[in-house]
Amino acid sequence: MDALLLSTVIAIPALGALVSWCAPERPELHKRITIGFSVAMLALTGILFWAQATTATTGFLLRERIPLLPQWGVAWHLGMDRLSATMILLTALVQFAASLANAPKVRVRSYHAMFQLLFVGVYGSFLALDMVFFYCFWEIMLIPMFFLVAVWGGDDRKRAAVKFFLYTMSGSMAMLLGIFLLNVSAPRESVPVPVRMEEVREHMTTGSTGEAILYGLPVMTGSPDGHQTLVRSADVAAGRRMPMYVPLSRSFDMLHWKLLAPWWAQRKVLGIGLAGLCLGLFFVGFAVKVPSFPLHAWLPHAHVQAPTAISVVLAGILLKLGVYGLLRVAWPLFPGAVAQAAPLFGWIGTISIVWGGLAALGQSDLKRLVAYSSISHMGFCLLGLASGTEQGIAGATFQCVSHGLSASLLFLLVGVVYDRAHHRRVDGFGGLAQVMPRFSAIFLFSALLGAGLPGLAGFVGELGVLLGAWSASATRMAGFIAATGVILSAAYLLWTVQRVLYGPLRHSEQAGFADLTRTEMAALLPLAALSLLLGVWPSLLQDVVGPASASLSGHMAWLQRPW
Amino acid sequence: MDPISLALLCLAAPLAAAVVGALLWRKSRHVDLVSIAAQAVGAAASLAVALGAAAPVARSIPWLSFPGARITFSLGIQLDALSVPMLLVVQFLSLGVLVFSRWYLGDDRFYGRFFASFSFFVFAMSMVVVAPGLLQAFIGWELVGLGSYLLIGYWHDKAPASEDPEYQAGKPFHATGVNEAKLNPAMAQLKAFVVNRVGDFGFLSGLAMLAWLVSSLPGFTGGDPLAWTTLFVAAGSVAASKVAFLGFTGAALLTLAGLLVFLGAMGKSAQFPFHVWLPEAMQGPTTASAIIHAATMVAAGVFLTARIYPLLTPDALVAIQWVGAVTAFVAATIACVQWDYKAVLAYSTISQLGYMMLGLGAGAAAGGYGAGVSHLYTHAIFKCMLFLGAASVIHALHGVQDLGRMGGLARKMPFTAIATGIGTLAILGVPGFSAFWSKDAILAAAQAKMVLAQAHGAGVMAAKIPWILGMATAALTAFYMSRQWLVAFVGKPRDRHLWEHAHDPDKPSIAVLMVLALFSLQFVWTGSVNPFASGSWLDGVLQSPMAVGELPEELAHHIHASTMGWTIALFFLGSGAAFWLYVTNPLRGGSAATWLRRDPPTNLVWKFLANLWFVDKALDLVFAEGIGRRGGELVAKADLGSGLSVDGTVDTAASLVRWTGRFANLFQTGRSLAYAGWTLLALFGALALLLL
Amino acid sequence: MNETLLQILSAIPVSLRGLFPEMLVASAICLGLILDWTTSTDDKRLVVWFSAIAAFAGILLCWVVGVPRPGLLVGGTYVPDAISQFVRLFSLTAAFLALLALNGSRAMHRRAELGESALLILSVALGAMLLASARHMVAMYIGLEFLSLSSYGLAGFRARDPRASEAGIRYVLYGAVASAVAVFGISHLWGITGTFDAMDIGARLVSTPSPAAVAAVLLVAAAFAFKLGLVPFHFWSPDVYQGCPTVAAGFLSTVPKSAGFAALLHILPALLPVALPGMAPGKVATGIVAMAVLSMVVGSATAMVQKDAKRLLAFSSTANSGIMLLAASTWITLDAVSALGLYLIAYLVANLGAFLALDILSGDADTSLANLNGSWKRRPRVVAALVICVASLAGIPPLAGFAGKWALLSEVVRTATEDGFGPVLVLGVAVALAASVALAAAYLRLLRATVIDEDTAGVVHTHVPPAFLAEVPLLLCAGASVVLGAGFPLLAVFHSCLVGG
Repeated sequence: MDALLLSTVIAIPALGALVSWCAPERPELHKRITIGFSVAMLALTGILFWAQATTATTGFLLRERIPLLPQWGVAWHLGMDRLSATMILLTALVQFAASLANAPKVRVRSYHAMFQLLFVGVYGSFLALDMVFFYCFWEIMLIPMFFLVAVWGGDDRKRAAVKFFLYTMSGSMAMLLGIFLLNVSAPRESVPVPVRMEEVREHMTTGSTGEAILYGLPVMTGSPDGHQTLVRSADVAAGRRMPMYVPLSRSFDMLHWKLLAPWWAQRKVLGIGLAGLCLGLFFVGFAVKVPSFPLHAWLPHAHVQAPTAISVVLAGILLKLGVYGLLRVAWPLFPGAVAQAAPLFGWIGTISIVWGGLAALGQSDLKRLVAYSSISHMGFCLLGLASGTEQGIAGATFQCVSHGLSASLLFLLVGVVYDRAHHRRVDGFGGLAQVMPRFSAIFLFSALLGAGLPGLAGFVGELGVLLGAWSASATRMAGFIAATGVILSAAYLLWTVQRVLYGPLRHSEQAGFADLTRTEMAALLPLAALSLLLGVWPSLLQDVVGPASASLSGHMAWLQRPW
Repeated sequence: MDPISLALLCLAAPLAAAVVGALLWRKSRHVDLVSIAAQAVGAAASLAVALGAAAPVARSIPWLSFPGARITFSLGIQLDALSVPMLLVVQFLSLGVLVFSRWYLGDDRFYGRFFASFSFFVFAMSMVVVAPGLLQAFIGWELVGLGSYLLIGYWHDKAPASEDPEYQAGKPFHATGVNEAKLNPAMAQLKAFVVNRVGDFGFLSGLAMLAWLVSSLPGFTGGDPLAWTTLFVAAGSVAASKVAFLGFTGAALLTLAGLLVFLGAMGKSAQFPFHVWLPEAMQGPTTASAIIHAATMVAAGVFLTARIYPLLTPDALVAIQWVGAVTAFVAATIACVQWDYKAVLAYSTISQLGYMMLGLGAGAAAGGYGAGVSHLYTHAIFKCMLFLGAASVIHALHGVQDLGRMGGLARKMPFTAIATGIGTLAILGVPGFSAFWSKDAILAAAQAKMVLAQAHGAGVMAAKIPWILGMATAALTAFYMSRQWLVAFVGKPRDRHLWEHAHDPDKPSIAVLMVLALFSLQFVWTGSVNPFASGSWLDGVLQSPMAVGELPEELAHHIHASTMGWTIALFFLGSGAAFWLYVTNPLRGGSAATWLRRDPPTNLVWKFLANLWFVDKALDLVFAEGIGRRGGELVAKADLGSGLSVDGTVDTAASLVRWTGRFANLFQTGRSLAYAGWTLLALFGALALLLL
Repeated sequence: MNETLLQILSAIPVSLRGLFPEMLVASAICLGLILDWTTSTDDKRLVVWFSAIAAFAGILLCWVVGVPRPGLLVGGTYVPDAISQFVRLFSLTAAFLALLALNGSRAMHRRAELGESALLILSVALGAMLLASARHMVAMYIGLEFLSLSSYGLAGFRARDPRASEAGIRYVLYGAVASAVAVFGISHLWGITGTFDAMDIGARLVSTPSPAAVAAVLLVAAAFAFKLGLVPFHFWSPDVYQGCPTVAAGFLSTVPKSAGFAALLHILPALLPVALPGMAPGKVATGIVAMAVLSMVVGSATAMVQKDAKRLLAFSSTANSGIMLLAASTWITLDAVSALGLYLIAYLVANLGAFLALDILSGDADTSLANLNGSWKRRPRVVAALVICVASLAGIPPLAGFAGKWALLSEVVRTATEDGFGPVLVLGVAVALAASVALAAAYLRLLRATVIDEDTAGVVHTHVPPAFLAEVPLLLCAGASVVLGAGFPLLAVFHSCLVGG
């Protein structure tokens, strides 16, 4: 029955959306439904992650491939490897926290339905291995997100929602063109393409002969349907280079396209290098989501206007989709082009870090401040990826998780004070530490987490990224400058702590503020605990995703070797 | 138990106490006992480690690994000649200070929190001390910073000094240097953390750079590139390698890496111009200052520099010596005009840290390593004692820190007076007291370096000036420390009411002071009662990590003797001046102190010093106000403001489309014939295009 | 049953069999007229029902007859083929849905013209069908005029509504110019080549190239551009849509397009060879792409700034025609034509659905965006359907519009990378993608008015009794927009029809 396990992951939120849509208009009931479904997701993804983490294979533990339109090579193709497993677990965690944050009281039916629908897109994008469905899930997120911001947001919500929609859609359109170009320039007949044996092994350990033939990969004896091996295991062991005949196809299969990387590298379209062109298009598509300078301007608006839960999801998960896309699509398909553009990407990342940090220093609205800190932190991800080194990529992945935790924590906390004070002006607070000790403790904790204090998850990601950036000559200087991010993050976060929590109690009416409620604690503590655990014992995560980063950087390095 | 597990106990016990304290301090005041008990265990364990210490031992476990790159960073414990004594000092001083704090903070509203934070600090500090590699050093380094952050901000609910009536009332005399609007614990803790972060930016970059350099060496066969052993072995091959960054190659690259890491040390050890955070850190409880901002944490920078000594190229050492010399001198000059009891101590700490760097910078050949490290230990003890003395004085005077309102306290609080006096004598380097041994060693090293430079005929000036500054600082130290002790403890009480209620601390605290006083005596360190005997039973510990050519015997003697002469002369000069100014009445009526309070000197030098060389103001203007506030607002505007901002540009593009729409909409006049006209026009236009 | 029907059919002369659906609709119209005369104002609904049934019967008949194999009918005047078959099904389905909606439409409630409008809808469909299977230039012109004249009627038949009649007049005037242009062009072609048969016109033109020929072709093309509402022949559409009843507008925004494209596809292969010495055929393609780009840019940009929902959709339909025109510029590969078919169907259900929803939501008031505020409170089900249709128009997966856009544009890109006109076409695709962002912005304003904004003070909404009948076609459209999201297999069907037919 594990055949359709991954489809179930996507089906559950869809079911949830349906249930919420049909349930009567009763806030507490809806909240329970949403929490129930998110708990279910947490359990399911937890099991999946555990299963993936405890297997030896670096490849896909689970894969579903149902050819739908063979003529166009479109297939319902889902797969979970270490990266996806991590991401869906993080998603479930953030979904859980967000479902506990207090939801609007008007039009609750639609709100909760949209909330669940959003996650259909998120889980789908993290699991899809077919470009068509990846794109579909990617776009499905637009409509619910638009409504969630535009209907239940703050005063300026409509402008913010439209901005979000149009920025993201422009990015998607670029990606769409890229997909078209790749699809049409796939080889028309079998072409010899050197295939990396590590990947052969990954595919052979998982997947069926049918796929092996689709990917033009040899099948080892002892595979489910017992085909004869075409590979001498010596070659496999030696990771020796040998031409495989990748058959004619117009597929949209990511793995297939990954195998074709050498082919893309030598194709030209309209006289321009295909790889470079498509990398550019995909990068725009993903960079909008990340978001990296200068495509980030939608984020402060969306974050400030969105209701708490949605800000949490936005920062905690949606931004990660951009990095995931780069990791899953752009980098594996166009290693050569990436290597050429590495300095550019590295500097974009660094500029995002510094620019976001400085902008955060200049904010007077708590939510906007956190939003800019997100831009700054996600800049590290891009820098790490740009380096193309294992440390960098692993660091970027780790940074995704840690930022998912820290951003969720900070937005939840901002929501907490907003619920009490009904404003978010930094200068409208002061001395809260005296009235809300638990809140203050967690706030300080989250600030330190964001500032990358060692012993918390935030540090590991930044460390990995900086190590990676220094190890690659293309990003060394950028990495040097990027390290100033540790000064900036400490400055804007702890300055905020000082202005909001410390000093005498500036506003007498705040003396009556209640400390964190049980629900709020339930939302905050798991995130905090996890970020402490990962900070003290990073191997918990690194040993799971590390091999993935190693294999990607290996893939890139291998394809750049002259042959 | 083997030394490793004992050392582990030194970390675990305080950490456990910190966790318990953090959870329970609101409920019960007895978390103090938990901390003290844990600290006693830690101290005992460290003593056992020290006694059982034979050959250096190290053990570590993998922490973060990158399989493909064959890199595995590990955490662990390394016990050797440098870490064991430091561990001993940290653990025991902490125990003493904890005991003292029970009395000092007896009735404080946050009582329990102090002990929790303190224990956490001890854990972090020990982590730095026993670190087997640069990465753990950095991790502990940052956690130490957190501990200091928490303790500086201990009274986080205090209003800025400008709004604090209590402060305004007992305001020290002419504290022109400080910005009262920004002077409260919450602000001080922020400043401390951020300033340190600037240094840590260098530390982190240096760390990443070294990791890259080492792991890219052909000889690297996997493992932890930042482990001391690996690092020191690799240093040579890095210096020889061809890799380049920013045009630096080989040794120059190594210099750069070393100095980047040293930037971190400058931050923690409050070296000029990073020293600005330390005086403000005095906002924290005085006992916390005693351990963190006097004895151990600020010394961590010196410790780190000593740790990475094998990495430091001669060029790097020159830079380090200069930084130390300048810091020592600047801080000493400022201390001369301070009237806040703790401020004097704060600046003297900065100055002494500068001394240590000056010593280390002199280089191993000149005996600088041993000198710097030994002063690190001796200073830790007597400065801790001085701060505890300050604590009892401030407690006795109900929080008044103004020297100008003290005087004659010796009669009311003899033990404090004695302890503080011994501490003062020690810091002055009077024969028979600890610093006479260590500080003279530093000055001697500076002089030796100068001699060596003359021998090589290169970099004479570069070696001479630090020595001169060091000597000048010795005189200044003698002046301001004597001044402080004399003004506070002898003469007539200037504020009778305060004087009446003054009293010594309770017995355990006195015991602590006395023990520390004992350790401020020279023979404890040298092992001989003759202060002028050369050599010490600690020489083995103070061996520099690299084998270096010793100075010729008679030259060493000559330098030693001359330095001794110099320092004693300078002591008499400085202290004499202080005695003449502040005790005998050289001028019209009353002591100089009272006279100065009536009308402060108007000369520029005094203004310059009272304004702390304008360093704080300048930095605040450029960084806090400039980059931090204005820069932030500027970027915020440039990002989201209307018009040419990042956001605005996109909006403009969008509105261009909208304008196109509006323009096209103008044609929708509703007049069919107009439509037809446009159409035909377009048609003929197209025709023309096609045909012509 | 089929057998008996076929026996009856076989009695009829072969040369006419291909036109059974047309005949059926024609006769239905005649009967309908009689029925209309004989019924009183109160039960005009009868006529509507009758026409709806007729449309449905027509659909069935097309199904039974199947794709006609190409054969000359009426002496080569009509050559029904797969494309014409597509247009038949397309326009009859549209007519069926529109008629159902017309029955429930409040705007048409108890009106004397209800019957006529129903019949006019049928006749528009008939015109479309004729146009789609005509080969003879004159027949083509007749089809065009049939289509246009009945459209004029449909636009302006609400005689008592000044705006409607104004729209009608406007449409007539402007249309007159267009058809004049067409006749002018056709006559030129005849003058040059001496034939009316689209097939050999091309051949003869190649043999005798002349500037006049180019002019003539351009003029003929202009006539179709008028029907497709392509820039610069689009001026009429917003005024007309705004003026005429919403349901009719929805119908007029879809059916003529299908017919127009069908005709275009029929004559383009014949006319494309047209060339002057030294004028690359690429230049014609460039011209077409230029027109497409112009339509997309102007249409989408102008749609962004409209204050009336129907005007907004009118401009968006101009932009959509531009996108579809890209397919026509790809040298008529079968894949491109199939993709165009899919796009048309997706556009039909989404766009018609949107119009029907607007008809229900606006009630008696006009369709200015301000009047739609707060609809989500009054008619949640309708608004939900509208959201689906609009999302489909915006090309959000997994809806029909997405499938159509994907099929069409990927096909264009493929041709671009393989044929010689790459840069131009890729530019066209890029513009299309940019335009769909701008269109999305426009559609978002529609969603904002209906789903997000609260009621605006001052606008009084007579609360319409929820007539479920009116919602049926809307729900059908919405449902189809969802189902057709998986419509890719249709491409294969079309392809096989085009090949086999």
